[in-house]
Amino acid sequence: MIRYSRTLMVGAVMALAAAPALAHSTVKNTVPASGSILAASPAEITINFNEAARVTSIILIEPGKPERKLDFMPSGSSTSFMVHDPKLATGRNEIKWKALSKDGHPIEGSIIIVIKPGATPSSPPPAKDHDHH
Amino acid sequence: MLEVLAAAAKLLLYASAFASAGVALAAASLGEQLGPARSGARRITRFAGGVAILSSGAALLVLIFRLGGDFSEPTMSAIVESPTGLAAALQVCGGAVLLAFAGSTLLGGAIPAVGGLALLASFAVNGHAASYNLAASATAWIHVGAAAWWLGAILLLLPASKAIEAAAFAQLIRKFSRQALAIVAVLLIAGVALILTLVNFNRPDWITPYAQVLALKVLIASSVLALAAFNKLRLTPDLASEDGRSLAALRRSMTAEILLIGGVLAATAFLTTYTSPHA
Repeated sequence: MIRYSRTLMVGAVMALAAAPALAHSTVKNTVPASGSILAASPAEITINFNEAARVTSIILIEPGKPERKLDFMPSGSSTSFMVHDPKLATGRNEIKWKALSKDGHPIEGSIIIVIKPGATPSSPPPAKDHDHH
Repeated sequence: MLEVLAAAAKLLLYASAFASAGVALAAASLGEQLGPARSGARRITRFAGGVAILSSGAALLVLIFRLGGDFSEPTMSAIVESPTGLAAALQVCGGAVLLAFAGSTLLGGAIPAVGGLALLASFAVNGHAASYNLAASATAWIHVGAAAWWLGAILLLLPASKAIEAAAFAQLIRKFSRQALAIVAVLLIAGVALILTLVNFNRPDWITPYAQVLALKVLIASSVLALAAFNKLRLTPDLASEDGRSLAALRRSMTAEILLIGGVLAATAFLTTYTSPHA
């Protein structure tokens, strides 16, 4: 019995050791980075995850306007999601996203982009956006 | 608030799935010796199977709200096309088989047992272990299967201790003990293998919130094991005595085991809702 148990244990550990060292789904980076100050609305916003996730909603919160849903691509599982022509307004824009991670956890986060006409484009040091689950 | 609801729905799902599937598996393995307790098995399997279907729906609804709550196409397709959708389908289908075939002796009781295994597979196709690889997923299935059998067997033994005569019950307990020795060994091996997979002990800061709750779960599970060992080594051999004190003590001990297993399931619901092995 003990011999079989030991063999089973060694077998199970060896099989499981082949598992890749996956991290929980988080945002690797966004383009533009959260905290960026831009002179005009970017042509697109990209959210890059460290592993495949499924984005379920992206909402734009602009100053003095009701929340607006943004269309994104692709639908389904991907490591990278894109919003074409988000039409960000002058001022502070918050882009809030929600997604289903690979292990079934709901995750969410937000990207802050400030549009300031005439400003020299600047972005904070590379860092992931404010995500949590 | 939604996280609390998510954890509550998961706890209800785990408890009902383990009870219905576990009773179906244990009824198949303990067989005819259960005697009149088989009718109790049918009731538990049917009731818990129904609760499993309802709590699966509740857990899914809470998840939809946590993903935005708008039932939009991206949200629904993210669920349906992901392992989360497969898990929900297994829960509904497995639960339906348990509801429809509870207590069936067709093919030696294999049909409800298969329904139970399908229901339990839902915990292996989605979640922390499933996000690693197939081996981790299979190990999780074996782990939950063995744990469910244990809970199911105790849920059957408790009413059987009153429904059948002492000598027959002592014989039933001996059969359970023989099976439990192998199944609990498998449960432990699979559990240790999963811990070694999910917790990265090479990290200097490996004592994450996940590891802390996992340690609590292991502690509660260890107390169930200690109680089971006490039952086997101390109470079971005395069952043959005529005074009935051992039988009463065994009933109390089995009730305590059920409550502690409930504690393990509660720790698991907290673990899978609030923490991640890699956070």
